[in-house]
Amino acid sequence: MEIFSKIYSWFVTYPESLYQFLSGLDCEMVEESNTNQFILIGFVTLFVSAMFCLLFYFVRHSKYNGFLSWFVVLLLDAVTSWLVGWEICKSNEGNIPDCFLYKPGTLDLQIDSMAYVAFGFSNTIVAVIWFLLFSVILKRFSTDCRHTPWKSIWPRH
Amino acid sequence: MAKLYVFGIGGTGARVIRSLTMLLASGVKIDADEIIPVIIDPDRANGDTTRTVELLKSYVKIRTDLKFDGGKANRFFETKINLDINPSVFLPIEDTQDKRFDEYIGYNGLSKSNRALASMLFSKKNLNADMQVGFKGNPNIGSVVLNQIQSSQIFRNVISSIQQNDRIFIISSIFGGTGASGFPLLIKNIRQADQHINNYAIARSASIGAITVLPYFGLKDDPDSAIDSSSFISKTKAALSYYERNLNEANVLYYIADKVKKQFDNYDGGEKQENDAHIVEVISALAILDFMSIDGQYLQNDANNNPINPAYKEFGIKEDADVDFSKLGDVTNAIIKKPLTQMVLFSKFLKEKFSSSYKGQPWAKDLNFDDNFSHSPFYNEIKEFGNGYLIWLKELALNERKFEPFEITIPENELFSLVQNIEPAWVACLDSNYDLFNNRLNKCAKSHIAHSDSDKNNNFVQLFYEATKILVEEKLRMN
Repeated sequence: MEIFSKIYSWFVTYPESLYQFLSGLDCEMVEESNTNQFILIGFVTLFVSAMFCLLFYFVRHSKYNGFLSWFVVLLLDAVTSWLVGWEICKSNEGNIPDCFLYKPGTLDLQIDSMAYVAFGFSNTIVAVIWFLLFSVILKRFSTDCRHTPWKSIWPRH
Repeated sequence: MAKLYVFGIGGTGARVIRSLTMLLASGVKIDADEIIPVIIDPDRANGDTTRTVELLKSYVKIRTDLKFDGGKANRFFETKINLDINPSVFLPIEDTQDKRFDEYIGYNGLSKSNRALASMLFSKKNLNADMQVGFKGNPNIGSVVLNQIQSSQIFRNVISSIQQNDRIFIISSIFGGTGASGFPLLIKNIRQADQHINNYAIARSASIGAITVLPYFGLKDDPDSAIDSSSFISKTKAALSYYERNLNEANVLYYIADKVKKQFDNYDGGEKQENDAHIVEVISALAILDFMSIDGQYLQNDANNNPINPAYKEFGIKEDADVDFSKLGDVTNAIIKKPLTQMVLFSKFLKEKFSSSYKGQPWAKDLNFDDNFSHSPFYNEIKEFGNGYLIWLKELALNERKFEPFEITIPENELFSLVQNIEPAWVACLDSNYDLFNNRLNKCAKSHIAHSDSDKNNNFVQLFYEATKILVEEKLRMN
């Protein structure tokens, strides 16, 4: 499940100490002495994106089959994934060791509420990638959306 | 299977051919390889006739781009209508333009005794009758003038094209002038075809069916018109009496009649004579299908070309009321219900939904139904045909007696409730109405993706045939 940690390492828009905590490192930087939270976050985000994609391509009113509808579902996926990232971080708030929570040798917080917001945005980027990937895979099996999103935004004359 | 020659005499003949064309366009099956229509009407400007001729030409134009030899499912426009033998569709009646009947028979040049004989047979009004718009309800005039068809080159061409096993069907009304006089003459001229015409012997022995349409509409009283519809019944009686004694050449003779409920505007003829479609004409067209379904062994003639087992048929509905599918018998419904419904859906989609669908739906993208296609002559032709089909149904629904199997003007959000007395079924799909239509088009289009642009017109009609077939089967339970 290292793959999830790897993916989230590409989009570190939040404090590195939060990444280290979520990866399951302890204060001695020993790997996986704690639970790797990225596995949960990664699976939930993957599942949410897959569900939104399935809904768009297979369970939807056929008139909403264009690029705009696809984009709206993508935004919904993005917002949901932001909430997932933010919520899982927030729920771990009391479990973060001081060594990650404070800047070394100070009492200044380095993981504050803005860090959770920033992590939510990273999760959003991951969700968008999943959604695009699922779109490429699922569109060909769809009855009404087999040209969405790409061919549907090309002008037709 | 073989060819079918359909002779439509007068305005009623033309209107029945119009209904037949609509049935064939919707995919109603007829046991004939091709149909050769011939309209006999001295009034070439007659609105009913010109409308039918235009419709036939449109049908032929559309069908030219369709293919039926690849085992594909499409049955819209499946039956070939052949206008090659007689491109104008008309069988011309010469020498009637700007001429009175007395001039036509050379009354003034006749000997005194012959003039006296002619005066016995024809009233002064008859002799002074202008024949430009037909015989205005006077079969005694028609029986003289229409005799010329035997020498018409087009008639000879038509007769010479008849092959073994081809059949002939004649449509006429009995209560007017052209039909009542033309029918006995035409059947006589076929049974006694000139031996100098190629294939005359085949024509003489051909199986002939005919429908005689008894009064089913009236005309408003008009002192300026030469036609008085109050004489329709007495004319009918006289003609039936004549037919009983003198007409035994048809293998199958169909009779159709209805209570006279509607009075049309009284026009002698010309372009203003354009009566609304009537259920009697639809049923008359069904008689043609019935005739073609009869096994050849029941249509044999003796050595003198007289039918061995002549049959006489009528048509009934379940109750004396306005008609929808529920008032028709099972056999009739099995023939027309599904095709008519499919064609209604197709025509309505073209009229109401195509322009807003083709730019966004996968079925249009897959098969390149783009702006160019939507402005192509083929698309415009088939759309116009579809509009004409809806107008035809509307006329049937507004006439008396009404034939209203569909609620044509139903709102888009109740599309599948358009068939009277049929509750649409539930289908497992979030889409409904035209969205469901688009969904099914998308499904069907997947199987056409490999087709080339050269088949585009054919793909278009085939796609709609398949989608409408699925829709009427799953939503309206028509199997």
